Amino acid sequence: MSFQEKTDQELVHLYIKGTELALSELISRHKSRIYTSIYLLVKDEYLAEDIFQDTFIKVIRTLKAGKYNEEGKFLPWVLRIGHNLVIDHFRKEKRNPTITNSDGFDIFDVLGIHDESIEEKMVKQQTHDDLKKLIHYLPSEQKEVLIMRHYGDLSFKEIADLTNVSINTALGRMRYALNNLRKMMTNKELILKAS
Amino acid sequence: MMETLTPTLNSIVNNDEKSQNTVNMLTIEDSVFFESLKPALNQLVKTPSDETVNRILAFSKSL
Repeated sequence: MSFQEKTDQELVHLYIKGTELALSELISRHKSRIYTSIYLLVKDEYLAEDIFQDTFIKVIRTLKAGKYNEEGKFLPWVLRIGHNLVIDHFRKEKRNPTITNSDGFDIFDVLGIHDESIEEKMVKQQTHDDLKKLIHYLPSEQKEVLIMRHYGDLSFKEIADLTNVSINTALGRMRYALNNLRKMMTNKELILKAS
Repeated sequence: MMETLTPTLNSIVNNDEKSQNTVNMLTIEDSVFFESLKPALNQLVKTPSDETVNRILAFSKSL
């Protein structure tokens, strides 16, 4: 069985036993979800890289020390570590992530849109750009839930555990996030099209 | 005895499942809206640099 066919848990076991390639597969499998979750919270590419790296350094130390809790799933566990490091960062900086300026990086620069006119491309890019801004306007606790739910694919139970709130609070924050996005999109007359 | 016990256990399980489903569900309106957002949210996905990933792997090997 190749590494790609193994479960996270099997890869963790292999890594603990000394198979370094298992860690490479785990990172490859989850790096986008983890990195995007961090990036959308801190809105700074370089800071997100640093926190992503620190997250995995903690993961590695914990695994190699034999302290990994077998009951938990790997991805929610890593997301929790990353989330805590983001909180630590903002505590240190004493600034609110919702009012931080963007670093100017635009993910849509790398979008491969080939079958559309220039006008369509511009409209789509503007729409996605607007959505990204609207997400950043959300209060941090609502943004967290939206990001964890979508990019982390976490259940509301897992989000609740991760953010130390009740399940109903996590669910309520998601509803507020969606309601706020809907209102802001209505105000901006923003219409999303499926790609 | 069985007639009493079985419905009781089923009731507990069903109530648990119902409770889990309730707390894990959004309203239909919210769910539809969230689904409509997903393609755009997916466009926001990005990955860390290879350099960062390589540093992590090098750190692991160094231990």
